[in-house]
Amino acid sequence: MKVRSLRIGGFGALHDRTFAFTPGLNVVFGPNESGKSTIANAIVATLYGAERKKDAWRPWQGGSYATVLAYELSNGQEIEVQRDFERDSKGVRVYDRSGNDLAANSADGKKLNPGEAHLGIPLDVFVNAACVKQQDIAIDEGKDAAPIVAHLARALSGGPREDAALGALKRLDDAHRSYVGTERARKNAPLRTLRDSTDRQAQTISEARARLAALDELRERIETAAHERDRLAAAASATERKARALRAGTIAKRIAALRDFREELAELQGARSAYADVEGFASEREIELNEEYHAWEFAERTARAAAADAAAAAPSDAERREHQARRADAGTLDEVAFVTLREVAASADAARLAASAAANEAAQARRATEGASGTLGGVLVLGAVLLCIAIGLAIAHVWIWTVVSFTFAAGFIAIAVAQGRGRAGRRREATRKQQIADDALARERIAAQSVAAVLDPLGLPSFEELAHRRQRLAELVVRADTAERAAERARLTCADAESAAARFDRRAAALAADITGARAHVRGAVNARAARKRERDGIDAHLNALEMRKSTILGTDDEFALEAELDDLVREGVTPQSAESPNALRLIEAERAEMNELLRYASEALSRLQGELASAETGAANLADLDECLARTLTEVARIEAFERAVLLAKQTIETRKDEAHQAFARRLEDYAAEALGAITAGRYSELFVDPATLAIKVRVPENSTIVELDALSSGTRDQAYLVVRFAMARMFSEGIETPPLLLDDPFAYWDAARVERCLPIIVHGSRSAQAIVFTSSEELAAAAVALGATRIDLSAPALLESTT
Amino acid sequence: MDPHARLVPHVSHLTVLTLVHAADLHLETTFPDVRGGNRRRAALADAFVRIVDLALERRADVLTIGGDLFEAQRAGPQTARLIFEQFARFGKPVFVAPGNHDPYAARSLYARDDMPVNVRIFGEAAWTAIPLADDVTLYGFGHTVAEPGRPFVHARFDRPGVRIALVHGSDEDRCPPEKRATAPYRTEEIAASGATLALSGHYHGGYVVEERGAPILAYPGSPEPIKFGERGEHSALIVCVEAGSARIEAVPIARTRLIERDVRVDGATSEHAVIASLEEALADCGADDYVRVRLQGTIERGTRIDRETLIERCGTGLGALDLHDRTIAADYAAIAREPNVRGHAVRDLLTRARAGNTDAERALALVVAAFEGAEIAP
Repeated sequence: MKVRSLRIGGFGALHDRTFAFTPGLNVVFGPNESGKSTIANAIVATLYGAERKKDAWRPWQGGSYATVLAYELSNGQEIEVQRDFERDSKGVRVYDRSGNDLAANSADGKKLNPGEAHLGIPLDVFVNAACVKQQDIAIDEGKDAAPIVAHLARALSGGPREDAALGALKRLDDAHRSYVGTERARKNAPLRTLRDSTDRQAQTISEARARLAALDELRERIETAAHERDRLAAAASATERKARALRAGTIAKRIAALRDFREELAELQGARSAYADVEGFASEREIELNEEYHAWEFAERTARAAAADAAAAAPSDAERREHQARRADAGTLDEVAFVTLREVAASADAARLAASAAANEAAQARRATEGASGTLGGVLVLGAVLLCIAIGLAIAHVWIWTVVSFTFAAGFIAIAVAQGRGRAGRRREATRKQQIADDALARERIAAQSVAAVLDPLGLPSFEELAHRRQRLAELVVRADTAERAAERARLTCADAESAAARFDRRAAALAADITGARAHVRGAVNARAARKRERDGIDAHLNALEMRKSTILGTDDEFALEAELDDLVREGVTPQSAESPNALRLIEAERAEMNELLRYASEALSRLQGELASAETGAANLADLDECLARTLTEVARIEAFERAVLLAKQTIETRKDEAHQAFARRLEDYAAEALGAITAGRYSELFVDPATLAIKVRVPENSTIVELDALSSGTRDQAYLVVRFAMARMFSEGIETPPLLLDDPFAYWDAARVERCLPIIVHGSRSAQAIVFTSSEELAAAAVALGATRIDLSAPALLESTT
Repeated sequence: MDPHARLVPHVSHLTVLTLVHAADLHLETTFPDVRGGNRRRAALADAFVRIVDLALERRADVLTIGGDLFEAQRAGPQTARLIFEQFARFGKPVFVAPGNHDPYAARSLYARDDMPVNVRIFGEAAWTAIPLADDVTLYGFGHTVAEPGRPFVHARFDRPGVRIALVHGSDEDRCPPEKRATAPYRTEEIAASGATLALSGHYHGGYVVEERGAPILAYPGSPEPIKFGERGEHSALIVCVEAGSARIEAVPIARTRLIERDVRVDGATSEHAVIASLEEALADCGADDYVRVRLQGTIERGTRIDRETLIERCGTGLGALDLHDRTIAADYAAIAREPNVRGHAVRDLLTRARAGNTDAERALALVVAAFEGAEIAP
């Protein structure tokens, strides 16, 4: 881009001024506050707009806030930009040489931005790359360098007619965002939406398939239910047939039973007519009569027995006489006298016996005493002999024998003494016994006399006879009492028998007055009549039982109805079947009812299932359609995924190549800058290094061959290097996009003449490829530049258009 | 009445036994490759009805189905109703040899109780003989869910007269290389088994193989085309058995067509030119035609090809139109020579695309469009 002219209607301090520029180096000279920076800002603002600095550059003197910038592009196109700053972006008009409105070609979205459209770089890149403020010739590194780097790379990779890599990447990103979506995007995520849709469709298909499978299950259940229903129907039918057969059999049996009933009834009724004579007979009283009869019979027998007993118990005449005699002798003594007498007699007997015993004992004692006297004498003699012998032996001094003899002698003598003493005692005992016997005899005599005094008057020989007669008297008394009691009992039983006979007679007369005769005959006749009555009652009971049997047979049924039902059943082919048990029919009917109930349930269940199936079949999904939808969605997913892969591959490829281009632009920038720097520094700094990411510049110091940061060098060298790099960048822009004009706003204000002298050739050299506009208040610089071919624009001159070549 | 009584045609006194054979109806199949699936499924059902019409019209004694009558995965109540109604309408014996898409299973439509009594399903992967006449025997082999193996390897058909084998499987001699053979066999195996003729199903393009002037293997094909690229007839076969031999007549059944066309749009500078080329190419296609078009050629940069717009514009009178854009909008080789990022990127991708990388092929167009500022869309 070569700025041709700038017309300022009103912009900051400048008002109604026009400046013309040449394609190469232009020097705008003027003192401080003359408006040099205002011109530079006006060029930038006309190209890119004032935006946030709109009020800062509002004309001081009022009037229109407008500029007109004319420039020529590298393709020869001449452009005129008219900007009315009051109207912001709407106040821009872009015309070509023919007056055509180029707004469409210079449009950046909705906003007309001729700078960006024609230079191909945004404002910040232009300001950082092409505009140098006072004492700020250095290039900002780091963050501010990034846009410049990007656009340098873009210039290197594309060119003015084609978009560059960054734009391509952005478009690919946009396309990816639009058609694929990003991981984090909540709304615009087409691929995720498609995948979600796929999942939902798969779920729907799975559910539809499950419903289809459920239909199969339902059909199986229906089949099972139908089989069950058929089985139950068959079973119910069999049960029905069996029940009908049993029913027919039962009815037939009942009808036969009724027939039997009727025959038996007739027979019984005939038999009953033969018992008309006992119809009113109170047979129930037969028992009473029999009891009365038995009571009479018993009383009669008892009376007869009592009479026999009384006859047997009566005493004989001899006994009666003996009774009289005994009462005369033994009966005269009362019981006390008899007892006393008995005691006396007993004592006499006792005394006699004691006397007898004592006499015997005394005699024995005496005989014993007499026998013992001979033995005593012999022992005594033997003792005396032995003693004499002992004395003789002692004399002879035969001592041993002496002792023996003496011992034996002593023993015999002792025995003799003892026997003597015993004999005297026995003699005294015999005497005493004899005395006792004498005393007893005396007592016996006295007692015997007393007894005899009583017995003798009665003419009884002994007490024993008296006792015998008293015993006989007692027996006779007892017998007389017994006979009397027997006679009394006979009388009483006879009276009872008569009474019982009277009662029987009365009872018999009441029961059957027409029967007379002996009581046994009467009773037999009554019993016979009662038996007949009972037979009749039996027939009646049988008749009643028959009636009950009829009720049992018929129940509440009608006999004719039963017969009609049986006829119907037989007509229908039912073969009557007799029941195995009385409950068979009831059981089979209960079974039939149960079967019918089960059948009803089974039929209802089957109907319900069939209804379910019909309903489910109606709502069955079109699986093929669903599968197709899913397949189409999956195809779409695959298409988008393929697109995504292609986009990512395209991006990756461009990124790779872009990074390589960055490296390439850095090398080219280094080459361009090093070439100029080497020329300026007379080959001292011929190696220059530019960081492609930050634009940090380093140079190799020839003295020690080390690479150092630019800041480590002198400020003059540093400024030279930066200036060289700026022109190198402009050259690179010119190669790829559009060469921006270099606006150097008094960069050398405080430079000494020597440094200006060294840098000026750089500017002149650079301005051959890129238009350079140097704003300066230095007369020396202006003059030197003009001397080197620069166009001078003097701000101090009052003319509207002042230019000097 | 014996439910199978109707399965024997009782034609011993006749001199000619006529069978109508069809297969591969694939009722309820899906057509994901081109739109109009519902209409094509309806067309398949119509074809089934036409086959039964044909059998009635030709007074066929027997109708045989060589498998894949329906898609077991999707067969619903309506499918069952259609099949049962048509079989019942035919009234005479119907024999079905289930295929790999409709194998016999306990819950299969074939196992239902309400299947018409004149239908006999060969529900085992083993040969079952059904005498159709004194001198004609039909042997049936059905697919179950298990892999059936080679049906004819151990088969020995020794009943007197004509022995017709009904089976669903692959003729290995003509099996496309990319396809997996199902229940495969060769004509030698068929001959060795003693079968006079094998009526088969599986291949959607029908054909008849003859040996010594007599047919030995016959595929009727699907009554309607199922997939693009199918070769052969889409018909039902009329098989006349007479005097110990069989004659086969193929009766076309299909009404729909699947058409694949490459349309060149070289030099097209606008969408209008593309539409014009497309309309010209599709001039002979109608409502029963399902067309797949591949747009080929190099078009001018910026020429818009919007698939949906073109389908809407040119597919209205067709069954369905499927469009594949294979056009090229730039000279990739020339761009690849450019000494800039675009040139380098295109060169890289072109190399990979030529190596068969389809992603690179797509990425090429995207890179060019991205650098040109053209619309980028899938």
